[in-house]
Amino acid sequence: MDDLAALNLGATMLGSGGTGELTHAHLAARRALEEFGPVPVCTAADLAPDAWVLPMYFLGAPVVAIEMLPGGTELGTAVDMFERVRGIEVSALMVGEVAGLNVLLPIAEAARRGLPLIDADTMRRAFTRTQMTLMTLAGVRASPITIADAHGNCLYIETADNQTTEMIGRSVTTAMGHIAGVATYLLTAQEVIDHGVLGSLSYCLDLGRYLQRLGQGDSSLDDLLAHTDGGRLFTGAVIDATSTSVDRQPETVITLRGHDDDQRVMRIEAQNENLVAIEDGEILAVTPDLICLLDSQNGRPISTESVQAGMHLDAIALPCAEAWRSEAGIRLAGPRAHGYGIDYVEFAR
Amino acid sequence: MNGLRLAVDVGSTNTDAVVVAADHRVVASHKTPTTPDPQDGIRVGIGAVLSGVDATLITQAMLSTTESTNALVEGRGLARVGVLRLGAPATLSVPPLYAWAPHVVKAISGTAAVLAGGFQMDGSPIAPLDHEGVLRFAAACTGSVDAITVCGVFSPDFPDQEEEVAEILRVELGPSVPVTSSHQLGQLGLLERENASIANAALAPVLTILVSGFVAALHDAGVEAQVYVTQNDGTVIAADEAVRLPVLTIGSGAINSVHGAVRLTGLEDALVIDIGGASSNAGILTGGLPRDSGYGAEIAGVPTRLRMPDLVTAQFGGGSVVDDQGHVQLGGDGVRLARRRAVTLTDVAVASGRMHSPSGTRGPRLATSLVGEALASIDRELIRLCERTASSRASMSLVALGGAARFVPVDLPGVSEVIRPEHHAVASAIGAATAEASGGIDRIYHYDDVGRDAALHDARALAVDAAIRAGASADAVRIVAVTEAPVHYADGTNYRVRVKAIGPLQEVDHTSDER
Repeated sequence: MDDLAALNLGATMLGSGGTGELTHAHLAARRALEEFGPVPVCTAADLAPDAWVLPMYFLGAPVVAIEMLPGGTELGTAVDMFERVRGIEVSALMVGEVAGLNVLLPIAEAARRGLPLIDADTMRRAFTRTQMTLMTLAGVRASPITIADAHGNCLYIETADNQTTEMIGRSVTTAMGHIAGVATYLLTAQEVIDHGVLGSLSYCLDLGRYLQRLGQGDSSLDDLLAHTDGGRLFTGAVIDATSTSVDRQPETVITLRGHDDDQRVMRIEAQNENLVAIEDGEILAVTPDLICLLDSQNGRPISTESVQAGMHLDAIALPCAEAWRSEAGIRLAGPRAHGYGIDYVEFAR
Repeated sequence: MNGLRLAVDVGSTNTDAVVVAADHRVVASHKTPTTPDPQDGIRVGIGAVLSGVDATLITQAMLSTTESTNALVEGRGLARVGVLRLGAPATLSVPPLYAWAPHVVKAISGTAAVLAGGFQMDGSPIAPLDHEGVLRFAAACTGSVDAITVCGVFSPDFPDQEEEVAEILRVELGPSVPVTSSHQLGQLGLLERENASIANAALAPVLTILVSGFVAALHDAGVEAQVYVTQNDGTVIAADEAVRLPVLTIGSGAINSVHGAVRLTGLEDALVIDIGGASSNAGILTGGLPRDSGYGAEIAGVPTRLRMPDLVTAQFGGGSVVDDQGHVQLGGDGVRLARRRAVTLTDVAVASGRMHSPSGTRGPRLATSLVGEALASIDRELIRLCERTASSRASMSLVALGGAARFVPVDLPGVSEVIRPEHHAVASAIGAATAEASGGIDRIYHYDDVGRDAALHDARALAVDAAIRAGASADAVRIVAVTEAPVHYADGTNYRVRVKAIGPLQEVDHTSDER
């Protein structure tokens, strides 16, 4: 149970600002663990190489997730239909995206099903689009995908490419009320070893524990950055946080004025997740690296939508999984893939 | 003609009373220990502070107390609540009351049910309302609950169904069982709003007793005034509003001293520390208002989405016990628990010369090393409190308030100056006496349908209305915060808009009253 609190914090951080409030997911996971017992976490090597592993996510709008909470059956319905139509039996579940409620809600489902969770995911962070995974880079197909709501409505869809999977998945999610449980990227244990990001859950837990210590005053931000090979981007007060919608894509721009030097101004551009950090025309950090905003006072990661003028924040960068830095990785999830006409640069430590 | 204001602040150790003029000048003040039944201390305070003051000049009276918080934490004096949620089959992953402490659930135990109903973000129903279920719920509640809450998914945006169900329940159960509709508490976020509604229903008897007791005490003292209660952001609401929405009074005790700091010093930006008998609070003033924490308040471990000011609490105060080595015992009940005459922080402060003995008598003789060690450790705690609260590296002024404010040293590293205003001991009551009224709004607007300007205009107007309903003077209400957050992954331009408005209390024209 203490793991859950740490995972909550780690998952918020790895969401790079895009997670929204996670209380409900935390409580749902806790309840499932209380009812069904702890969830074993295994590595892909613990399974037979041809054992089936099924990643799960929730898709939808964070504001809907906190109001029209999951019924708790969505992921189960999605996995059941997958097994039924494909005629397979899943040996282990996997979090599709090690961020936000996509860490906590799959834990609840794994507890309910009595299946282990694999210590891996497909991104090692949060991304807006489900085709932005290392699986896509490796040529692994997201299709088929099952999408389910709380009513028991479920679709099993086959698509020709991962981008279409994302597009259709999102369409269906909208029709279902902007929140749905999804199972996709069916893998064998061997494929997880070959193409997945290994150790994601452990990483998330570890990060969360550091954040807990930071919040209690037992550790410093510098310790955390040293441990994660991260970098300090900026410390300052928010002077503006505005959001616009371009082609129905939200774009948020957060402007901070320097704490120690009020002549310095940094801008963060986000589309749900924080994607670019710029100071004086110089790119300080950019996707696929993670850009996180922490409350200067207690080290808590702040979601983009809750940033308000006057807040004192530390902006930091965490390195993405190494595989993202390949040419193909940058093409799939780098700045240009998100609509920014700039090139990827690694942040300074 | 502007009248006088009387405020009573019931803290965990002391009950403070003040009389303040319209220009915020303190006319009279009094401090008395808080009594097990708070009403006794309130009467003592009112009596003392009115000696030498013409009671008929009091036009507004405020009450500030931690009773609401205490009642919820202890599960004491609460109503039995029937909890109805509309949204099945969604929301079942976290049932109502899940996060509540078992002893409190027991105290408020009634029936809880989740029925089909509620809405999606776009207003389409999650499932048709289960009318039969509502009637079954009403039957189950009959005779076994004192109050009911109804919480429907997306009710802040689509309140009609909640209202319809509340009306059915009122008809079935009769007027003696009040029904709270969650949309009146206005916030998006199902669990937090549901919890706030439940807390609201559970606290009804607590507030009713508190307010009627206060009104009776005022009446007996010859005061006929408009009565207010402070709420959790330090602004006030009319007493009958507080009885109707008691959840708003949770956590109101601690914040008043921060407001008090503004009145007493005229500073708009400062660090404020209020040192009480058993605990100390630190907060930040920015632009004359306490900084909002931004996070929902957790009450007795239960998440709510109440607007809460940013306060850091430390478990030391004037009554904290100091042991033989000079170590200050943090937490615990301090002097109240010690059976023999224990050495307290106040004793140490007196012995060191930082303060004069509050009772005028000489305290115990203390070893120099003990005094030195205790002072050093308390200074460390104070510095730590400052650091946790102030995130700006630029030095701020520190305003020291509270009964034990005098043991804050004149110089503290990291702080540009330490100010200890006159009347620091009753700063909380002064904050309550000079409080303003506020109102807010939190909802989703579809900018595609109404346009951003029209939406913000509407939101501002609604916030101003809310502030006026709370008692603010209509021509002096100002908007203090507007935030817009986009709703992601949803088609169309949808924004969650939050607006807060504040204004000085509507003045009562005393001369027009018939006597």
